[in-house]
Amino acid sequence: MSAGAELTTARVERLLPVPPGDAYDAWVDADRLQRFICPEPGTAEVVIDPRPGGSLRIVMAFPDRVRVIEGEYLALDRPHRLTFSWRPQWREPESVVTVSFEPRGGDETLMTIVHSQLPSGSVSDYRRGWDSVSAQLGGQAGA
Amino acid sequence: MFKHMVEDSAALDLAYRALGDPTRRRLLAELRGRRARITDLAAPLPISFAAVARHVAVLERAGLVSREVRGREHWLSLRPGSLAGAEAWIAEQAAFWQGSADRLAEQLDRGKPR
Repeated sequence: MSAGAELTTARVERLLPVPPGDAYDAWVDADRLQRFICPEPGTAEVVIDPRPGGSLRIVMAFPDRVRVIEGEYLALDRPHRLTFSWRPQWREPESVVTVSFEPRGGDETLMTIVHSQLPSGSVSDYRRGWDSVSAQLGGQAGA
Repeated sequence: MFKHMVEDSAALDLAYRALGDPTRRRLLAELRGRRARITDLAAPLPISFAAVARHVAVLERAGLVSREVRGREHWLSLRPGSLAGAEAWIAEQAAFWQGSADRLAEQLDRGKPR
């Protein structure tokens, strides 16, 4: 990690009682994601397209307000990690979330969530990269 | 949980654009706990004095660094409290993801055969 990166990064770790693949799958299944993503006492509705360049939209309803977050999947590598951009609809710097899964003994997983700010432009550069990849794949598939 | 974000978003935006660059983060780290001149900051870095001066200007515009002119010398220091907005953002995101991780752990625990 570069010098001072802790100034722009929130990091959370949790040991989960399942193997990495099972933990990963909970993040890319809309029904399961919406049951854990939102803080109490809110409820979430989630629409996701978990493939590179695919979009995600999370609507969180709290007793007094509604919050909408949009983003794109930047990288998916089951069962190791997934990365997506995180753009709250209210104004705030754009950021990126990476969730990684490391096997621990006895069918357990250490899940690490890293939420980082990026220089403006990084996410759109990433996205342009994926756009050209998906255009190439689309051409090959005859789409 | 999200109230700070709305109020301070413009200032945060500027601060984060400033913090988004690794050289500028390093400069801020250098200024933690001491004052320095641009020459002092540039000495250990593989970039020119002029490049460091440009980075410092960005940090000043974002309100993270202040400059005191003494004769021909310009002394830079971290503005007290200037990182509070950034730190609050980090604390709020961490609290949010703690909640998500807790709920996921509970659900996986419940689903586990005993």
